[in-house]
Amino acid sequence: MSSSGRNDVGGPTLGNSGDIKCQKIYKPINLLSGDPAVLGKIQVGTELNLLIEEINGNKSLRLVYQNEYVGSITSFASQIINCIEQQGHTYVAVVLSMEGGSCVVEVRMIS
Amino acid sequence: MCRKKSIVIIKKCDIINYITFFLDNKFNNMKQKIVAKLGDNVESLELPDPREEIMPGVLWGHHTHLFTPACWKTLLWLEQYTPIFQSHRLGKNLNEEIAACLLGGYGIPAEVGLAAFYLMRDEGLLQSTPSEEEIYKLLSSPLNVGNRKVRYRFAKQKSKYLCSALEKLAVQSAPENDDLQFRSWLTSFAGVGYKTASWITRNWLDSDQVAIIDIHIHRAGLLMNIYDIKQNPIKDYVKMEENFLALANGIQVRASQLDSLIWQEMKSAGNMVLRHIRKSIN
Repeated sequence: MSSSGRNDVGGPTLGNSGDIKCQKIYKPINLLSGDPAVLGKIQVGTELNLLIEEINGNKSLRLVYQNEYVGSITSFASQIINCIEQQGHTYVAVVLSMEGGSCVVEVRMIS
Repeated sequence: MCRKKSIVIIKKCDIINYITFFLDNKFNNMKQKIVAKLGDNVESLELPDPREEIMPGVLWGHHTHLFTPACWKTLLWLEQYTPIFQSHRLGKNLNEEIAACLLGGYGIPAEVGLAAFYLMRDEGLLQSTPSEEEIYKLLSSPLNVGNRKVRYRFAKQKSKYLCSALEKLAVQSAPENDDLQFRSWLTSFAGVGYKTASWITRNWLDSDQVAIIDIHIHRAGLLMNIYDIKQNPIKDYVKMEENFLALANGIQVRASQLDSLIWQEMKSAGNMVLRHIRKSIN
């Protein structure tokens, strides 16, 4: 059920949100803001590395192929970032489909 | 003579301003184009330039930057065919709904509040007017939460509130044809403030006229600059709600869905959000 808690433990800068349960796979996730030139180099099954970037104070979860920026993901991103930074997990993205300018990936836990 | 000369100068300035404005918008106004596979179809969405304001001091931001309005809009668009848009109702009738929300709320983790609600419901207490003692006897016993036994906090206080609510519901009809009147009526219940009343209203009436300013919405609002750090939901609820609703309107999404999405994402984000807020304050 959505928003079944609505608890207020502490104020906006206090309180511990607790450990999130990190999933082994997150899918399907649409790649956003893709670089067409780099998209042209990947295909279904290609593995992409995840890169957490902070730009002007905003976090972004980017996907990289052979050191080139492919695009970003936002679905499940906050959870995945939390799992990487707070719980030490490692993930990789795998291309599931490419169609009409879209690119869908899944993000897999590898450790 | 001087007047004619000054008119010529003004006209030149106007032309320069026009050219500057034109070039600025042509080369610097970068709409955000998003393409995604939604269900079986590839669809597209266009958002304004990240530097464009939705309301004074609140920028769209980039759709790939977490916690920006553009990102929330994009996530809602991406989720449009998924279960996030199902009913928010927790109960099968209004008694159950009010009980579920009363038993949740401040200081009570979601799963514990729900466990308490299920217990009350399954023991048949919610369609009658049990005494405070009957409610307390159940609420104060250890609850099954997952595979743990958990003590319910505030059992004494919530027993009193729930008892009072069920008595009131037995004799009063809810004004369900007007969202804000309904919420106002709910605030007359003992233990029900604006937040809980808004939560019930949003859930029961699928309302987009209220906002549930809890810790997650508050944090998200700070990150988007729709709230000031000095604002407090206890004393500034109405103003904070106005700003949230204005944001939803500004990015053209349903307030109820925006709330639901933000709540889920902010909960998942964990401590990352706190670090983000601390950085943005300092």
